[in-house]
Amino acid sequence: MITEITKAQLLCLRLGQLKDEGKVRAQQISMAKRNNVQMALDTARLARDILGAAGIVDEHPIIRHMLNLETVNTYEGTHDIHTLIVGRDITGLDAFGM
Amino acid sequence: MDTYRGVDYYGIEALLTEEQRMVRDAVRDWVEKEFVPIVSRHHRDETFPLEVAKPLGEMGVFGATLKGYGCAGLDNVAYGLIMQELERGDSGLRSFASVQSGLVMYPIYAYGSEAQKEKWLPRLQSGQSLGCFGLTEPDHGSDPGSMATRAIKKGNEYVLNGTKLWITNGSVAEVAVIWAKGDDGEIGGYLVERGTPGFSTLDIHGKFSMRASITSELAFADCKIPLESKLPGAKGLKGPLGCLSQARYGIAWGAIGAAMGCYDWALKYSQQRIQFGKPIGSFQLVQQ
Repeated sequence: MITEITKAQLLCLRLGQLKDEGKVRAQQISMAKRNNVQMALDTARLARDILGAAGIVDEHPIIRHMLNLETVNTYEGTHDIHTLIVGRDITGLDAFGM
Repeated sequence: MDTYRGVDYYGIEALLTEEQRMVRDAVRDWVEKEFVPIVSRHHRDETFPLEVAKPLGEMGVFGATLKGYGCAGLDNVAYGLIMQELERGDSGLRSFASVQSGLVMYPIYAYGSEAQKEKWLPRLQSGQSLGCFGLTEPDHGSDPGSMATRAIKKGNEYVLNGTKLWITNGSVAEVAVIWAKGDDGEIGGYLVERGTPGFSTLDIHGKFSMRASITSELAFADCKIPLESKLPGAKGLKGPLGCLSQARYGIAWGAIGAAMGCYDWALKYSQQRIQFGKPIGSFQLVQQ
């Protein structure tokens, strides 16, 4: 958990620097969105597991975050679509073309 | 549980500017004091606390990276940290701010006329007005280029027909940024005000996710809007995709906030919960 959170933090910090320099590319944003949301979903599920039965009630924020992140994984470009966007960028082959 | 202090294993704090730390701490404190105590109730009731709009506006959250029109003009790392702290509260809170900033204020700022900017940006920045963004349709999600909504020019008006789905803040927005194809098939952006005849909204219920967030369907049936409603600078799919890049950037940061919140909570729990005579945090599964 902590390792993945740390990696995501460094990814975003660099992304922000690139954006401030006007050098960021949409594909780089896709990579961070895809990675960080999946990371958060995995983290939320692990955290829920650590709380055992207590993890399923809303006295604790974890199950709420976990369920919310299912939406975040889908909206504004699904995890899979961002895979294809980054894939097209590195291979030059377009999955979206007819 | 103890006060939330964030998660920073690699001393990233030292890489932040004083302004970035100040902005983050202000939002973190507000979320802890004002939002965390009420979010569970809203999640249970499937409601959103609209009263947060004003304090978020006062903290400079909306359109935080834009310059002028009352906007804070912050750098992108500061904006990201704001999104991180909001999503530590709830993904619905971050969505509320993301939509207003990245999907409504940004397109008006980047593609709008001076009159559109002067009319909308100051009141969107303060939280006095809310906006929503209509791109996704019932039959067109990941492939927005095949959208069915049309904006056909007739005399001195555009006539809008179509349906937009999964629209955050749809029913409470005073202005909707709607993406539609024109006579020539090119995608354009249109500002549609609430109350315009032919424009109706319906909230989506029964969600098991984003319960503390308003999600709506927008319907346009021969909805007539003036010619000056069109965003002059947005031509083709690049218009909405440019907005989505802004919003996705915020999501990348926001997700870290949700993860930090879960991690911090589970860590503290594992140090207190005793099984087999010792804290469960001492077992390898939790330590990894």
